[in-house]
Amino acid sequence: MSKLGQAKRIIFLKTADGQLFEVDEPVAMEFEIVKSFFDENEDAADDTVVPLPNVSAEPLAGIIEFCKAHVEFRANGAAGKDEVKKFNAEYIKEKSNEQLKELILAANYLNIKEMLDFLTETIANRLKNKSVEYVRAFFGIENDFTPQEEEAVRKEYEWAFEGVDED
Amino acid sequence: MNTATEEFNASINIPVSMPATASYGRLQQQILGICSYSMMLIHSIGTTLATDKKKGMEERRNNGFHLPQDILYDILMRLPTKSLVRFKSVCEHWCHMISDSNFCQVHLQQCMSKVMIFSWKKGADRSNGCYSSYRLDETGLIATKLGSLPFLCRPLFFSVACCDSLVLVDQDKSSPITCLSVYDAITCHRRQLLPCLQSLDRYLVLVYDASTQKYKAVVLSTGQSPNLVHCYICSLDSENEESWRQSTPPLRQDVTLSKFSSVVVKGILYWTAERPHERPRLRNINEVFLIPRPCNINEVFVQPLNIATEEFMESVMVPRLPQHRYSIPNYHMKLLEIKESLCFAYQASPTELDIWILKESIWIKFHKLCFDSIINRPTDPTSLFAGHLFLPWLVVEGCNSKVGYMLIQHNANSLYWYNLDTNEMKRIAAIDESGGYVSQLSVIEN
Repeated sequence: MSKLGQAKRIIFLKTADGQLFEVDEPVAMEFEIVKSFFDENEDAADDTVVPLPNVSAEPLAGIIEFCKAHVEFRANGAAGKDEVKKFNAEYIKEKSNEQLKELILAANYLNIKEMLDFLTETIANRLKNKSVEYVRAFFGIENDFTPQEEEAVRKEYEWAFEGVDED
Repeated sequence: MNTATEEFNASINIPVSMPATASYGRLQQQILGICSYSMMLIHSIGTTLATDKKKGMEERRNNGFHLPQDILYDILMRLPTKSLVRFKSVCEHWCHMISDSNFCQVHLQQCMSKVMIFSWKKGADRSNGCYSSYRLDETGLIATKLGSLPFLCRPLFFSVACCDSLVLVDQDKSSPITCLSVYDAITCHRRQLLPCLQSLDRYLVLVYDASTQKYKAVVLSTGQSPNLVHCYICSLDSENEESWRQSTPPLRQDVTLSKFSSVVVKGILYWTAERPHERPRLRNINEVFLIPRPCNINEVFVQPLNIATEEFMESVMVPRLPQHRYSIPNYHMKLLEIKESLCFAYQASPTELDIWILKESIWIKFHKLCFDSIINRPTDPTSLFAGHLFLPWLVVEGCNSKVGYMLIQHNANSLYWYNLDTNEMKRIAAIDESGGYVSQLSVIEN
């Protein structure tokens, strides 16, 4: 088991679609699931490949990019500064709703608290001014209200349906 | 691994190839998540058809995007009340989740904790003092200090406006040239704005323009000739040098603007203004007794400004105020926003606050607040409010209650949450025990 002060350790991660990722130890240790794997298997060989059968390569690459940047921010004492906000905003700008959903599922499986916080916040921000129909489409939810029930709910909160973004 | 665990693995799709030791913590969490989810289902569905519905719900969840319940809960928890009440009509499951009393309680407290308080406390030499910002904790009842402005000032010469975590300050109102700066209460970043005008009697507002996603500083000035009120607006760009634009309000010079009373409702900034009442010219002395006249009551109206277009709109009259002889309406009126409608609050007596809501151009009496529980001793209704001033700052709405909580300032620095559904009051732990007063409040958006 490599400890601090020794040569930089690389962690090998294998995704559901069979891709092998080589990740610096501090970045991989952001993933709670990987961290607990090594905590509980202290004698694991250095070249152990950790299988991640619930994560495919695309979201994992995105997650590694995010965690890598955040590990660096913390090392530079920049945590909580404008720099981080700027990075986060840039990072998420180009991501589609589909990519965002894949990222949050993967981050949830890998159990990365900081990233989960950021992603839930992002989804909440994307949804907050949207219509009910948009939200249903986003989550793949079927409307199970009868038209009368839905009408009644809408009527009670009429004010909340004004000034909603176009889908 | 025993059989029960394996079955769980299969149903929640955790691969068995994963080392058991590594997945255990996560697995346990997921099991807990599922348990609490099932409990919520049982709790919310009631007795009839519980099993059928549960089956239907499971199927539907499997058709859509498999978002774990704890993540969905976290996303919903971060949404504003307006979105939550709208999303009650997404599906039955969401409606139950959002209506759940525990969820509502936590969400409401979270909204209450987003309040930032900006307050002045006198310094050692008694005239100069220091402005500090405070944020409420997760219970909404204890204020913790965020930071202080890096200079001393006298409140008489100081003007301030808040929006989110930003504070716009005019350091010296007595100086003819504005010395405005914007200060971020969270990051403590401070930045000076270009001077905008040369006049006295300035009133500041800081607003967020959703159409351009920029904050705008608004300065109204009444002390300038000719007989006009001037309005200067500038956007706070992050990089570029800001520039002041002028907009002409349909206000005459003799109006008095209330520095406390501005509110933004759906992109419109409303401001209360007063002008001395014009009495009808008397034709003969008998009319003095025949025509009922208000005593010392000024004409009060609300002046709207469209934040996006920066154009003033037609003024709105306020509801008829009670005509008591010694009132100084300026200090006893406040504009508010409730359910995205403009509201007007007026302290009608030492212990009462009347609230009207504007619906389709008609003012409707909405609520009457009573503060007898705060003022335990008898009051003399003929005296000048018996020294009690109640200033309602804002309303925090809950997603399951009729209204929610109103934050009310009593005199200089006592703050209370007033439950508009039950009329109960809770005191917020004192900000500055002595010699201070609360100057501004705002709700931090993020």
